[in-house]
This record gives sequence, structure tokens and C-alpha cells, in this order.
Amino acid sequence: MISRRSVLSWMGAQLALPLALGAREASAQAVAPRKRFIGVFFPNGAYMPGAVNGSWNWSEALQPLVAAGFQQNAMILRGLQQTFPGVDPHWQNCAGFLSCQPILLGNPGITKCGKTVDQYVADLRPAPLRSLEIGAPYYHIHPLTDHPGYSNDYLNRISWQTDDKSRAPIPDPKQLFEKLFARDPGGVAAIRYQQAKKKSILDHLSKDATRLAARLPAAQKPVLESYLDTVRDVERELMAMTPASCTPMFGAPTDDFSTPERNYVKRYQLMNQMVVLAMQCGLTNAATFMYGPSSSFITFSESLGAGANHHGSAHHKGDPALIARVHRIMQIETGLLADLLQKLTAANLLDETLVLAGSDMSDGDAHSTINLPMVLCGKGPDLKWGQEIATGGRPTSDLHLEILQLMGVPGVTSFGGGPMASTGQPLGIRV
Amino acid sequence: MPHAMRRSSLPGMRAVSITCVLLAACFGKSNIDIVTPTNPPVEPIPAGPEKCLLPGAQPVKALLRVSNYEYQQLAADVLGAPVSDATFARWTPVPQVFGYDTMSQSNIDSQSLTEQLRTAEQLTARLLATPELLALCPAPQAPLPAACTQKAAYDPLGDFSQTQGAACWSFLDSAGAAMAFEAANSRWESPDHSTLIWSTGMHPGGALDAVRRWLAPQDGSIILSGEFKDVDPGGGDGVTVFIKKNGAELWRATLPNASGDTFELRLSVKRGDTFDFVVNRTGDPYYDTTAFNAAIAFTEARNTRGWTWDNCARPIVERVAGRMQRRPLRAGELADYQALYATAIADATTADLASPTWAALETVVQAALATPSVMYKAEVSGGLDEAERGYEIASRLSLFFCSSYPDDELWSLAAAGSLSDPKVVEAQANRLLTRCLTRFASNFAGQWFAYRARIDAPDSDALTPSMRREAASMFASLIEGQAMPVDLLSPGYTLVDQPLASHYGLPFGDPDGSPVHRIATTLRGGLFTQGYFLTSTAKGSDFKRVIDRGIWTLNRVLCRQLPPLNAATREEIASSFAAIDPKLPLSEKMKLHRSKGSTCIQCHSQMDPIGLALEKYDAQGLWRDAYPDGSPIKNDFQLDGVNVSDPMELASEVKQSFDFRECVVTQMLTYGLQRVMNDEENECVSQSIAYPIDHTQPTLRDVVIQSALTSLKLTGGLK
Repeated sequence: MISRRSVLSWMGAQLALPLALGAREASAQAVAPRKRFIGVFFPNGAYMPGAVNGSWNWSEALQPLVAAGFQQNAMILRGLQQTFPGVDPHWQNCAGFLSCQPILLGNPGITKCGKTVDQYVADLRPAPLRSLEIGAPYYHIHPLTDHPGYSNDYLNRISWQTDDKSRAPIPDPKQLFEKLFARDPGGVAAIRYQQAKKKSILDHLSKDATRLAARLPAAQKPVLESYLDTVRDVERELMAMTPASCTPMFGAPTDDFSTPERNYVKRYQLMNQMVVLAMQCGLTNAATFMYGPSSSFITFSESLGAGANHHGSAHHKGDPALIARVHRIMQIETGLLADLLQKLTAANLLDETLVLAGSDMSDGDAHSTINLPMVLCGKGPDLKWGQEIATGGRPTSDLHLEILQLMGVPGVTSFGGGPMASTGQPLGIRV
Repeated sequence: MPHAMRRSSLPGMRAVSITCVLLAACFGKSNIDIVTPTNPPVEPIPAGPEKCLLPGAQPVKALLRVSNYEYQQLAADVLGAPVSDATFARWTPVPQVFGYDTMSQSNIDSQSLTEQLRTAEQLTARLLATPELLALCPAPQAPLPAACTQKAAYDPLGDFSQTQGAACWSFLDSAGAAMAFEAANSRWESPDHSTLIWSTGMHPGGALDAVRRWLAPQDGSIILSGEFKDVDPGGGDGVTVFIKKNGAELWRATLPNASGDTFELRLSVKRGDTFDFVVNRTGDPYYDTTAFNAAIAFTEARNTRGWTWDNCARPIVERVAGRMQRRPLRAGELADYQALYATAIADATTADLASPTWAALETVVQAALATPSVMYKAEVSGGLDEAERGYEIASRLSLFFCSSYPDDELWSLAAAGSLSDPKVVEAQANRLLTRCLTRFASNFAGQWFAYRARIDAPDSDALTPSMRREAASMFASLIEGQAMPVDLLSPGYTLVDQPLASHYGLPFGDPDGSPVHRIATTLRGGLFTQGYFLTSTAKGSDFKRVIDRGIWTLNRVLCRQLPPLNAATREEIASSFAAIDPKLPLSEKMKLHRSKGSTCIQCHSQMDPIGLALEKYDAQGLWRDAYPDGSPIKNDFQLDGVNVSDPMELASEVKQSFDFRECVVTQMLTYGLQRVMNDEENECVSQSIAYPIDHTQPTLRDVVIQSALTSLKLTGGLK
């Protein structure tokens, strides 16, 4: 039974909402805010020559979603753009995929972008694990040979907890299994001791960081303040994870994931399974997947045989063989997305979850950043599932802002930065 | 950008280049060019620019992270044994700044911290197994005499005997009375003759339970595993079985007739603890023959008797934490560790761990390996008191050469305040360069030329480690052999292992059984002729190979920074590339860069001649006289107005450029300063080291030492 007090507090929250948002919500079908968000990044664009729609449609690139019965759980967004002049979109639109903020260039030892959609959700809906980040093995480019002043982190990170702290993804399913399900051996007392021990050590790290900060010039303190936040995150994770948190019905992965190529598809299928279980258990409410770093050089050799790598295929220069390879790579990746949706459905989570999948560019050959390939997935009567939504060249930040509103994130009235700041106008994704 | 783009022209003076014709003749049969194993004569050094004054000191303003490579070396040194790359496979890479990961400021996220703690836990286990470290503690007092026969493992079947208490086993009934042995049936019996224990089983009585008791002989941790099974299917209501520790129940199972259950418990034990394995009749004692088997194995039996904070944990913390954070612990820090130790003792005691002292040692050592004073280089960034300044010099010297903490000699000099004397510091720099040559070749030159292995990614190509080794060995060898900086380009020999010698087609032999041989050749071993450079810059198309080798050389060998590509240039590249006829020979494709008369020429006038000069080496780093289709390898382009038709001519030209000589120093200073060179420094410091005022020709070793000392001076570490 809902108490009078909770009703009043809910009403108070509604009154505090910005007028525009309140009005918009009133016009939408009444659907409770979604609880979970998953961002999915696929690198190197799609086959969209000239940044027109190309194969980014239900019968080609997104055919695996249709085949798995998810067309009515997805909508294609047309015409979104993320264009920051003078900066390579591989770096910019990977790091800024979920924040629409410009990356800081100059000193690769200092990275800066913006807080991402998944992290807003993590803040709003705290869980034992703040969020889960899934990725491929770290991709290195020698920054002096290729892009001086660019940090490789920008190619390898889509989740940013703050504008100066990205979250490293886990590339290996074994590592994720360990993080989610492995427990210290021994009885209850031994487990309790291990937890107490880890907490004491974390307390010690905090003390040391505080001591250190007191001795250093003011300009250096933010580094240690960020470190202290990290210690607190790890501590919260430690205290909230208990042996009974979540028990998988499957064993630890044993396949070889030592290179980006090995067991590529299985890598993400296992990750999908574990992330969905973690969400089902209430371990986390936010996750991101990277199907490769930006400028991914993965060849998909196990699925497609030897041939050009992803980046080389994306720069197809009209070569039909390379274009065919791009198609097949895209279908492998949207197949992984379909697998994720299947698992969310099986866990009865899809109606509480929004999944946004997209890329850093549209026409990978031309590095075009307009009409980005984007697909929003989920369930519920409030959104125009199964349709193509024409946005008419709006910044991607408008979509992200609307997602935050659908997630019930309060107090965010604008999103993105520089030329890609949100306009605040609805995109037309709601019924 | 750290270094303004400098395009000084190459001096007119040129050495006589080896011509293609001569090279072809040399290669004729075996593709090997054997020369006498001496360094080629050093060419006269060109007159340097005018001497400038060293600018004023400018400290490092940022708080820098210890790089993953540095942490690996710190850990290896504190352990006294190598720590494998695999240990760090899950560590987040630390970004390279201007090519070096020794000056990153990137923030540590929770996944990275989790991995640091996990690694610290693994290292702690190794560290506390080190006799040298435990020697800091007094010899543990002799343990109390064992309460019964001490063994590593016990089992009721193998240990079964006719004597109560033998092998720590007793045979009782639930009233606490000892059973009597009945030899005829080889079993223990209660006076009721139905409460029984034999080697493989037990039987409960009508009123009493059968109790097999194990007495812990000594403190420790055990794994207790086994099985009870009602093995008489005749009828009855089965049995109830349980395990008790000191009378308190740990585990219980109710076994229906003819069924069983297993157990596995991990427990700590104290000397004299009793463990009872009990069979109870449930309701009736009929058909209750119960098979029982178990194993009790000690997993650890740490004897820490007599160890305290003062006599053991404190010296261990001072050693480990002091070394890892590269300065002695301050009083407050030591108090924090002592408090952590006390908390750990209390927690371990509450958890009934076998050895709270050992557990507390593990806790403080793990903290000492992961604490932020280790992970951040506060000593580089002004985090020390005036009284500690000697440790700043010691640490920076040590990090420069050894990527680790100061060794005992340097530590003592820091403690004695002797490092304020520049002569002492210079002597130490010389000593450390000799002692840590391999590490310096790996961390500095390995980043300069990018041949240092990636800690987070093993090599997939079998030859790559050999090529990395060639590059590192050559750099170390040239320093060791008092070679000149220009000898980096054409040393006259190479150092290869058997697989690489075979790849190159060089004779290896096995005169002394050493894994790496010095082979005299003019075609290998130089910066442009090492396998790692030639293959790592040849991962894409032939077109890309030429460009990558060119860019790399300009950037790393000549310190010429090409302007970044703007959007318009990228578009021009894309459209030009699409228009190129793929059937054109490579040299013709390259000509388009200049025929177009566009912005391309600005950069390609430098990249292309270098890349084309190196086309004599294919993507595998093998020499060739022509392309696979038989077409000739041509380089019609000039570098700064000079022909560089092949790798030897290129090396010869580069040798004489101011840019190269200064670039060697600039790279070392960038690595050593741990901050961006400012304009004033950029203007003259590299020159002052490359061209000493006394007009002597500095050896590569001299340049290294002077760069290390100058880095200390320019950041205010050394007055």
C-alpha cells in the first residue's frame, strides 16, 4: 500500500521537474521511467556512402534484429549528427559517443571528455556495481606517428564517470566472471575476514592519499581527489557484493580470448549473458559494450576467413569485395545486439531497459559524422518502436537528453557541448 | 607540441655513400655483407651553434603516475625476482606523453584500482615467501609440542589403530566414554556392543552415538573433506551424521536408508581443538551400518610465535613501503601502518584465523604495495620536505636509469645528504647506467623507438621478440662500447639470436653457446636497418609503408614534428587517394604528391624520400634489389636537396644533420624532465649537450649522463 507520505514526496519531485519536461511527460503515455541503460558502440561507421542511409536499414545491416523478432523493439534514428570540426571522429566520437562533449587534445597524459549517459543512470540508480563496461583488448596507435596530442584512451573508452575519468572496459569474459561471481573460498567467517581486510586496506589508501594531498601544491590535488572517489567506488562495490549477491547457472568461461580475434562472437555472447544476469540480480543498472575500439583493426577471421580488417574494409573505396565484408561485419555486430535483446527479453528486463546502439561515424570511408547510424531498442507503449524517426540533422545530444528523461534522470535540462549542445527540442520518438 | 617544427637544412658535407651497385655486388650470393667487426670511423662533427646558457629551473608541476613498466620493475626489485608481463595483463595502459609513459597524469578508475589491489595481493604472497624479507623478523619461537602425532594429512582409514589417541584419533561414545578395542572383529565397541567403530565405518547404538574424534596437533588451517553413507539397504530409518568442533556443531546431514552425503570444510584450528565425527541412529538403530571416510589436510601452518609489530611487521613495512615509495616512511605513515596492523590482528582473531600475525603481515604488505605514495611520483612533483630532497635526486636518478627505487648505495648517499654534491651525483649516474643498462635500453630507447614490449599484449608473431631484443641489445651495446650517437645509424654490426639470424640470412654458428651473437654487417643493426623498425612500420599497404617509415623517422630520429592534419587536408587525402590508379608503380604513385602542387608537398617532400630510400627492405625487413614483380626500387626524391637513394645514403645524410644529433638529446631530456620542454630549453639545451663547449665529441654514454644530470638541474632537483 502506498503511504500518504510517499505520494506527497513523489508529487514534490514532479513539481520540481522543468516545465518543458513535465509538459512532455504529460503528453506521453504513462510509463514508469526505465531502470536500466545499456550503450553499445560499434566502430568505423556503417555502409552509408555519402552519409545517406545506405545499408542502415531493416533488411540489410539490421536484418539480424528483424530475424530475431526485435523490429518492434527497435527504432532507427535518421539524421543525427555529431560533428566537432578539426578533430578526428575516430577519437572524438568514440570517447564522446555517450556524452557529446569535445575531447581535450594536446597532452595525451591528460584525458578529458564528458560524463556519459550510462553514468547519469548509475548515479540515479545506485547498485552494488556502479556500472559495467565491456570492451575489446586495448588498441594502441603510436600517438607520435599518427595523431600527435591524441590519447589512445579516446579510442578505447566510451564510459566517462566524470569529465576527466573514463572507465576501463573489461575485455575478457573470464575477468568479468571473476568480478561478478567469484568469491573468496572458505566459510562465512573467512569471507567476512576477506571483506574486512579489503576494507582496511582501502581505508589505508584513502589516508595515504589524503596525507599526500596535504603536502602537494593545490594544482595537483584534483588528481588525488579523483583517486579518493575511486577508492570510495571500490569500497562501495566491496561492501555491497555478498556471496549471495548472484549465482550463475553456468561455469567460468574457459575459451581463449587472448587476442581480439579469438572467439570474437562468443566473447560478446558470454558478456551479454553475464551483464544481463548481473542486471537481473540487481548488481548494476548501467552497462556499455564496445564491439571494438574505434578504428578497430579486428579482421573477424573466425567468422569471415582471412581478409581485410574492419578499418581497412570500412575504407572500401567502392571495392565490392570490401563493401561485402563491411556488410558481414555489421551483421555480426547487430547479431550480437540481437543476442543481447534476446537475453534481456528472456530475463524479463527489456521493458525496463533502454539500449542505444550506434557508431562514431556514418560513412566510415569518408569519416562522415552526419546521419549517424543509431538504433534505440526497448519496449513499452510510449515510444515509436518499429519505425524510422527522421530528426532532420539534429545533434545526437538531443537523443541522449531524451534518453535521460526517459530514464527519469532529474535536473538535466541540456546535454553535450560546443557545437553539439542539445537544442532541447523533442526528437519525435514518443508516441 | 613540445618541440617546434625545426627544419634546419642538412649540411653540405657528405660522406661518400655506398652505391646500389656496390651493395648489389656485396649481396650477390648470400645476401650477407661481412665486414671486420669494428665500428666505422666517426665522421668529423659539424660545428655546433653558439653556446647558450642553461635556463632557470622549472619544476614538474603535475602529479605524475608511476608507469606500469616502472611498477613492474619496482615489484621485481622488492621481490628480488622477475615479475612476468602476464601479472600485469589486466592493468590499464598508461598513456604515453610525447612517446613516454613516464609522465602521465590520467586518473585511476575503479577497474584499474581493483586490478592494482589484485596484483598487490599476488605479489604479497610471493614477497612473504622470500627468506630475505622474513629474516628481518626474529626466528619464531619453537612451537608448543604437538598435542599428538603431527602429520601433514590425516585419514581415518589409514590412521585406524588399536590404540586410543594414536595418530590423533580417539574412539568414543556420545556419553564421552572411551570404547574398547575388540581384536576378534578388529573394531572398537561400547559396552552395549552395538555402538561400533571400525576402519571404514561406524554404527550407532540404541542409546549412544558412535564418535570418532580427531585432535588438532598444532595451530593451522585445514581442509576437511569426506563422506558419510548409510550402506545397509535392509531397512530402518537411516542415520543422522554430524561434525562438531569443540562440541559445537559444524555440519549435519540426515541420511535416509542407503543414502550418503559429502562435506568439504575449510577451517582454522588451534592446538588441542577436537573434531568429532558422529553417527546417530535417527529413530531406530536398525540397518544403520554407516561407511565413513574423510581427509584432513593442513594447508598452512605458519609459525609466528614471538613476532610483534616492533620486531617483525615494522621492519618489513619500512623495507617494502620505503622501497616502493622511494623514500623512508614518515612517522605519521608508520603510525598508519601500525594501526592497520592492529586492525588486521583484531579482524583475523575475530575470524578465528590460524595465524592472526601472519594475516596482519599480509594486510600491511598488500597496502604497502598498492598505496598512492607508490602509485604517484610525488617526489618528482615537489612532494618532499627540504630534509628529504636527497631522496628526490636518488629516486629520479634511479627511475631514469633503472625504472625503480634507489639501490642500497644510492639510498645511503641520500640518507647521508651526499647527493647535494654534483660530482657524487655524476658518479652515481655513471654507476647506474652500467648497472641498469638493460632497463634503460628498454624503458628509454624502447619507448623512443617503440620496441619495448607491451605489458598488456603478448606478441603474436614469433619473430617479434627476437626483433625487440635486437633493438635493445644494439642500444645497450653501443653505450657499452663508447660509441658515438651517430653510430646508432650504422654501427657496422648487429646482435641477433638464431631465429633472427636465420630470417636475415646471416650465419649464426654457435661458438660460445650464447643466445645472441654479434655479426658484422653494414646492412643491419642501425636505427633504419633493425628488424623491429622495418616490420612495425610496414603493417599496411606499400603506400602506407613508405609514409609510415617516413613519418616515424621524421618524428623520432629527426624530431621534426609534422603539422596535424586538419579536416580539409583529410578530405584532400581521401579524394586524391581515390583517384590514384592502383596499377601505377609505387614511385609513380608517390610522384603524385608533388605533381599535384597542393598542400601534400609540404609534408610528403620529407616523408617520401625517407620512406622510398628504405624500400630496399620489404615488409618482413628483408633486403631486396627489386620489387616482387621485378620492377626496380627507385627513389628520385631528394631529402632537403640531397639524394638518398638507399638506406645507406639516408643514414649517411641523417648522420650529418644537426637535427639528428640534437634529437638524440631532446628525446633523452623529454624522458628525463618528465615535463614538456619549454621554449627556452627547446632553443638551446639539446644543442649544449650535443655540441659541448670544449668541442669534444660526446659519446652516446656521455649524452645519456649529461641528459640525466641536466634533467635534474632543469627541474630544480639538482642545484
